[in-house]
Amino acid sequence: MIEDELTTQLDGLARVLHDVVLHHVDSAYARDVLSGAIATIRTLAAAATELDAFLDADLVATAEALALVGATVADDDPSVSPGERLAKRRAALEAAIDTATLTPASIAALGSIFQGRAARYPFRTRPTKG
Amino acid sequence: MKEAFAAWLTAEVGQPVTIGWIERASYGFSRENWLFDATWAGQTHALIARRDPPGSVLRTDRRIETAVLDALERSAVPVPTLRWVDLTGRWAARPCLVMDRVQGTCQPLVLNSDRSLAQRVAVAERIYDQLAAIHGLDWRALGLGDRLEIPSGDAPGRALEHWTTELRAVQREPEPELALVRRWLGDHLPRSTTTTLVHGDFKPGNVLLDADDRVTAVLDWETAHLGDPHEDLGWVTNPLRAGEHRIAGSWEPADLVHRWATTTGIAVDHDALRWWQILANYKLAVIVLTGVGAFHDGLLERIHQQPVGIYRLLMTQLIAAEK
Repeated sequence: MIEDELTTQLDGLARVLHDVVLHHVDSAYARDVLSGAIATIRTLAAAATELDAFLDADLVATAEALALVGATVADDDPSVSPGERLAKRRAALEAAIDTATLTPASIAALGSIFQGRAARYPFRTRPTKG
Repeated sequence: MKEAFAAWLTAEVGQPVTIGWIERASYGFSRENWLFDATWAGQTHALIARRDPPGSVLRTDRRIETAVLDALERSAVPVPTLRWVDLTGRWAARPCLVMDRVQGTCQPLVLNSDRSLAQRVAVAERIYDQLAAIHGLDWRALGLGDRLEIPSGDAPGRALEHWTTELRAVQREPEPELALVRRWLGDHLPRSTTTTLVHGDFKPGNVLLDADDRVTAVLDWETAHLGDPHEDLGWVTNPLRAGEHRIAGSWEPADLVHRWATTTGIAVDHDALRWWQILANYKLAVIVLTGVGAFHDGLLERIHQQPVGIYRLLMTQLIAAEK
């Protein structure tokens, strides 16, 4: 699959930067920046295969969150990409939270949905591989 | 930078200045830190320049930082001596401060280093006694009441407003998580009864230690302001930063808070402290989003990503607060 190829290429890029280039960089600042770049490439590699599933799950979870604050979004246009639909739902959710009546139960339910999202987020920080 | 610093310092001291060793430090996400040696009149001086980067994780005012550094030179809190200030970027292209380089090392994880437990607890006490000393300063006598805004009892509301304004300025996409946190913070504003100087980013990584583990300087005053001391307490007891601030079982937040209260004589409001711990992570999320925006704009070389880990902790904090 193309996602696997992307992951393989990005992982390989991170590996050569780490194994071949990093220890030749003398400047502490440049080494620090390069280490951050390598970690990000690894994150992107891991995220490549998770993105589609994340968007699907997050569309559902965001709709649940919208229902908790009494809001809905009409966004069933098949020509709109999942990413655009999600951005629209999250914008509506942000606006609704600003004015909704919140109870301890609804705060807990929203918090739980957001925690689930953070756990699934494909670009989350992961344990490093050296 | 050698030529720029040489020209600037030559103009300041009125005689030729040569710059020897110079290196950009790897630490510091909000400012460029340039360490260098400058020689004039046959004497070499160890200096550090803190220059505004093109883009940063923080938008702060150099005039506030210099006012605080200037005032603290007359206090018992050790700070680097401020030599010269270029607020316009005339000499170094961007605003820049030059200070004496203080002896000592920056050890962000000193509380969980390979020192003995007794040594680490002693270091912790010395470091956080400096926080108590900051909160014990007579800021009016130091002239800070004339140079900084006085929050007049509404420090929590002002802090929430400040970081929300910063969020609005840098936000690239909807952040409903932060909308929920903002609602909760706004609905639970604590009352502030004490106004002190607040450091804003107190941590072991902003302290220099000498070979005997004594504090030689407290650094990084760019977010300093007058406010509620619970703000700093909430920052240093934030569970997200436990690796920097805690020694498991021996220097827990309760130990830190107890020693701080005993030293300062200020009563701790635990509900307010919880509010400030949540504000601390709201602020951290905004700082990370500022970095995300600056990186996307090509103004920052360090990569930042969406602060979903902070969101996760914020939700845990809100759910616990509602129980």
